[in-house]
Amino acid sequence: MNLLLKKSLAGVTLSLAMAGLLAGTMAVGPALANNQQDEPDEGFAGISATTSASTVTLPWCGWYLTGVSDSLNLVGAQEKYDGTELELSGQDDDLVAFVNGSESYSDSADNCTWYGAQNTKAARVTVSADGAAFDARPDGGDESDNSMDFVLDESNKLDIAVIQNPDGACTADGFQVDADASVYESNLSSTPIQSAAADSVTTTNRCGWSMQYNTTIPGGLSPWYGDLTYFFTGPTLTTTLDIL
Amino acid sequence: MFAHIRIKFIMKKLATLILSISLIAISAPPVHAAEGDLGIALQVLEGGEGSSSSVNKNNSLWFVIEPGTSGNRDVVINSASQVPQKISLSIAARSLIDGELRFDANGNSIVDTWTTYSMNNFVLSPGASQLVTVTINVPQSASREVLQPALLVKATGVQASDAQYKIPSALQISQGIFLGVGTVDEFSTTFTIDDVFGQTDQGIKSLIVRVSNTGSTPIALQGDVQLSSATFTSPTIGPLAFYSSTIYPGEVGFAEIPVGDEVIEDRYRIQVRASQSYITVTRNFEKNIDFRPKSQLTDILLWVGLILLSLVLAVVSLRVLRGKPLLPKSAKPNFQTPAGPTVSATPSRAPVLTSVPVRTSAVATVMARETLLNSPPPISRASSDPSMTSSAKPGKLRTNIVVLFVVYLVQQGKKRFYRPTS
Repeated sequence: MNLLLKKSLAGVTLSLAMAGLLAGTMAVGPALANNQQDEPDEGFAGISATTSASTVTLPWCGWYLTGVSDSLNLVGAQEKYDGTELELSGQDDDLVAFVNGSESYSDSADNCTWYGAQNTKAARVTVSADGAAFDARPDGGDESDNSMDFVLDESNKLDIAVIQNPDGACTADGFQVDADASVYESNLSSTPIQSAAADSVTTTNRCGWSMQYNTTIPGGLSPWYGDLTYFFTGPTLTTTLDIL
Repeated sequence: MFAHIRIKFIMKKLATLILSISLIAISAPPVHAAEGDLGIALQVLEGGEGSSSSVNKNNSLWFVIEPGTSGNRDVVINSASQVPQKISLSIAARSLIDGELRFDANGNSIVDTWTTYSMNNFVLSPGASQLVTVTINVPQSASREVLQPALLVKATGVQASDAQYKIPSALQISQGIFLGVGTVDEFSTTFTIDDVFGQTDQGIKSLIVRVSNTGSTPIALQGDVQLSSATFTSPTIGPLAFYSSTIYPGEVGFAEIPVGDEVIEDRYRIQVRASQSYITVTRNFEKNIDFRPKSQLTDILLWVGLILLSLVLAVVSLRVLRGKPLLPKSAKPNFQTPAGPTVSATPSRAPVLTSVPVRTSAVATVMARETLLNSPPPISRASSDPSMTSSAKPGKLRTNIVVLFVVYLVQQGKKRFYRPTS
């Protein structure tokens, strides 16, 4: 490129750059200054006073978790195990996490109070398993049939689909719902529901949902006994409401 | 006739009333536990006197306990189920995940072995409530530290299912614990009221109180603000109540107080009072209050970007105008030209030798080689010899100055903009 042209371009660019610098510094300086309030003056001792009154107090707000089945009963996709994979599924309906002053939900804002935002708590729901093994026991026997036991792993997880109830108000009440959770040997915990941050929690937050469970008895297992009912018991699943 | 019409009217009203009640019943949210389902709530009651009294006047499980002594707190477990539930209490660990303490399903805490309960492993009747006292007995040998486990309250069914395929299930509530193992002096509750200022966010004017937790325990403050004009006589505004979220030791927190049109931009005498349990701190200010938008950080970052771009363009333009190459020589590894001045026995240190002028002859090259052989290692020389005016050194210096300038601007911006604590 012609040297003169190069230098001309450089001159123009330099002018533009200087203008940009000037504009930038003029904009940033006052913006910072604007947000700096006056330095606080030295404080001095204040007068404290106490008051008392007699009144009926509202119940304290708290987080409730309801609707958790004490046992998730699964159903086989086919009646009998024939050595091929057997899908199991089940559903736990009407789980609800809510803030209220009593176990019967009320959508009235003054059903309870947190007695100050400093006491307001957020919450999250975690599903965790105490293991990953399904234990198989033939009917009438006390002993497990190890040849029919199986373990939840990456290729055969306990899938948990979280379905918000139509009137569950989860999203409207600031909850985040992870629709797909799962539990298996190297991942024994999932967090499907998370409430809004503590400073956004009200006295009536509510989220209702169902959980669908799916897993599979692997193919290729050989039971000790044929033509006999086998009972399968999975790990204990605990649904925890973690108050934050 | 008149009586007949009256009865018909009453019947109609009654029917409407019954229908309305039915509709209300149908549309009410079905949140009560179904038959057979588990449901509980946990309520932490305010604490009494004792070593934890500076931190326990709330619904958080905060303790300060000296080794060899104990502390306790009452909790109420409410049944929200139509079946009996077996309740068991324990203490588990919490782990720091993604920057926040989370219940750890597989973690154990030493505090579990120190804790006793007035009742444990009991059956809670449908709809009943049970008060349980949780006592933490810190052994004499315990080291002074902060422990943050969680209280677990677990509910399980009392009857086992006989289904062919089943997954036993339980419900649990986890509530975090702060346990300062030490004396009250070691875990003091102190805080300062740093500032109060105005702010407008989405058209809503607020006063913001900034407080610092200077102690060793968490705090969750409540307080109030009173204002009176410093420029003319006017009625006092307030007290306007405020609450802070939990502020952990060493952290700064902000409490927001929405204010109406009665608070205009003016110079005020302001009294701020904040309390944590029996500890109250009061501070008075006299200052101008104005209500500026909450944050201009994005705008500032854009302007900073413009400044940086302008700086780069200015440097490039100046170099072109002076007839210098756009890139410093040091940026061009020149290992391919053995006759050139950048020959080095240690190629990775080659840029150090680029101080030798480019237009030097082969003699200069030989001199440079000798200098290299007779001198201390190039890195130490480059860092200590002020006469080394290689383009690499001022280049780095310029970069550092620009980076420092940007970091300074961002930090200043962060400092001055209100960011609520979660």
